[in-house]
Amino acid sequence: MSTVTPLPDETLRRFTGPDAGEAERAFDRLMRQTTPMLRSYLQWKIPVPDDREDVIQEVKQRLWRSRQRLEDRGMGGWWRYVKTTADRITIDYFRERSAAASLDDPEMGEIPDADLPDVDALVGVLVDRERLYRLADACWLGAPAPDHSRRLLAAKLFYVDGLPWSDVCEIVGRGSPDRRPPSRRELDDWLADQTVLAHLAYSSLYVSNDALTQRLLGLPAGDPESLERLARRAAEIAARDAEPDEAPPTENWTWPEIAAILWRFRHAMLLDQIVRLQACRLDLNELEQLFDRCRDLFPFSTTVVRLKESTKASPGAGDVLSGAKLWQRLVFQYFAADTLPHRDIHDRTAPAAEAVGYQLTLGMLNVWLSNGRLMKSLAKFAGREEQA
Amino acid sequence: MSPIDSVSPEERELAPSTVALLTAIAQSTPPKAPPPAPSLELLVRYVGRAVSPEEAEAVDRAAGESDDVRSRLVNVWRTVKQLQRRPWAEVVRLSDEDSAESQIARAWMAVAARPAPSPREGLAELLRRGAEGARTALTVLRAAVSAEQFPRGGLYAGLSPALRAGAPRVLVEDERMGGELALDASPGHLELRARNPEAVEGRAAFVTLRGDANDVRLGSGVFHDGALRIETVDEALLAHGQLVVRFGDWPSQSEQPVLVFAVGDPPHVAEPFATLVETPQIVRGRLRMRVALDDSVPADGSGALRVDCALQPDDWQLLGEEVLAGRPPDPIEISFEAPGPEGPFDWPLRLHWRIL
Repeated sequence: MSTVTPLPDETLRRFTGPDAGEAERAFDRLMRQTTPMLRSYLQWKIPVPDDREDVIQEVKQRLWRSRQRLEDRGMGGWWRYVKTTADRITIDYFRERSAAASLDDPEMGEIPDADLPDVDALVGVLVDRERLYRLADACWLGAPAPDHSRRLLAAKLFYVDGLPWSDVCEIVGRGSPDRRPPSRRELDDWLADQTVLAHLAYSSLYVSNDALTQRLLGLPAGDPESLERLARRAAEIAARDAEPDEAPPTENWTWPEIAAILWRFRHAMLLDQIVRLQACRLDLNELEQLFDRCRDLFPFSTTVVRLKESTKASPGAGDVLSGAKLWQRLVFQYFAADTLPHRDIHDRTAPAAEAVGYQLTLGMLNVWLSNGRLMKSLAKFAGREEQA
Repeated sequence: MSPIDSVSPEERELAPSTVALLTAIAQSTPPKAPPPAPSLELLVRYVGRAVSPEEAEAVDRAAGESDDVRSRLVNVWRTVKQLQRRPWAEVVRLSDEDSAESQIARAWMAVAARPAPSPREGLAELLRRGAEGARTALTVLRAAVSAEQFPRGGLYAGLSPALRAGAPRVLVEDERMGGELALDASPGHLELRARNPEAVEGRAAFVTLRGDANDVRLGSGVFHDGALRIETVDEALLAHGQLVVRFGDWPSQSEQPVLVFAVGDPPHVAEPFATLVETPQIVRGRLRMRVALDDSVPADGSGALRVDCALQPDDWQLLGEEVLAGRPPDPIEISFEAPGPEGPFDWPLRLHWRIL
């Protein structure tokens, strides 16, 4: 896995500077982040992969040719320029094919100057996932204490696993020799802390694509390799025309169902994409029924109800569970990390939110995500952190 | 993919083009590979307090995030607690088997064989409590007051787990601890007070603090009216370590001290009953010790001498039990399989007498 680090403005200065060798090296660095962004941005606009790659190559060439005319407006300005260049070449691509469908796409407008500070505040964060999620945690769940992991572990042991407080103190008192077990009073403070409760709720309710697929397929949670193995086998079987000669590893699902579950929940493919796959052995009706069954098996509502019950003695826990921030954090994660469409995010959050008294509608998701409310909140928070 | 059109312009907080750019950057950033799940060996070291602060943080994080890791951690903790209550020889035997428990036993043996670090709380904590008005004391083995009986060492005391757990009164008032010397700790001075002043009157003693690397000399003096007072104790020096009291003059070179707690049980055994008459040694994997038992050990009943060693200040491992039929000869030699390197055994020992 490649490590991506935010590019310093220095890279940009070298790229636009007079030294051709330095500019080339800086360009390479810039492209290491820019190319994946272009692929993601153009994925839905230009569905044909070869055409998309041609457009990306053209964008790169144009960026290189115009390097000395590029006005240095920081990394925000750079990204705006990249996007504008990509939009223009995409429009040319559609014009050549007389396809006007995407020409009035509002996403392809110019990024306004007013948004540049937000772009500047976020681009450095967005290219470092660990930093991004840390910032998102602090923004929506609260800034963690220095020993946050230990506090969260204590809360999980107490609220989720139901261990008595004496056992919790003893377990989290272990680790390095300089540690002391917390006193009962300290533990009580941790367990009532709003930030700890918010992180507890978030980490209990967030289930990644892989983890959700593992649960649906009944695979052991602690063995990610089991999902890999099953996915490989399901793909081999799906690629064959003949009936599989081996029984599926679970009584609950057939091989075609396993393949469909992997496409839908592990790879976040949409129903109409799956039904068009040659390897898919199920028709639309069967797929709809299958995915309805899967949604019935989602763990989110059960988890939040259990959490509500186990934390009911803690004042403030109810506010955490029914507050907007917890659900905004979850929505942001499903959007940024799992790249889920709004409908899927809604499926994984709204029923659970409703179970604790918070109404989360598709319209709200649209406002949060499509009009940039969550991004704007994060940008403001990043700006304040930067100043602090 | 995002139905941006369905949001009216006045609701927008960022332009659709801006949202599209930020979304594309966020979703195109490759995720970092998750850290590998903590190994069983790491979880056992965590439970044995034998990990670095960074490793401890990593285990906390992994166990906080993953139900599976947390379940494994709790299982390891429970199993290690059971192992600590089993004689060491059984732990060794168990480690040769092929089961989940035996894997933990093997990892636990590696943890237990590490030298025990100094107690993490030192006299500074005692002094702090003294300042808060809580009377605190350390007690030591009565019989060890006779320095002649302890040829290689002296008289040692350590901070009891009970004291560190916030119950200093137990040590002061519980006669079972019945030490000859009690330590009163107050900011600015330490005072050693003997229950039997005649036994110590006029004798020189010196007090050191055994730290992580070196012994720190705290002071010395001569017992007068059953007490020895050491002034101007620098609290900063006392953050960690074990208090060591020796009779005689300052030694020419530091010896490996032996820290001994003695607890009589059942409660009617009011006095300490056992004395180590020489420094215990580990020879070919067995801890060998010579122990003198006093008259408080019933002459007509069978009993057992149970020995634990401290792997950490609050963590004890049972080494074994020696069944004593009738009144044993005095002193007796006993041995148990034990962790640790060959040679003098310099970890805290607790001798625990009980009637079977």
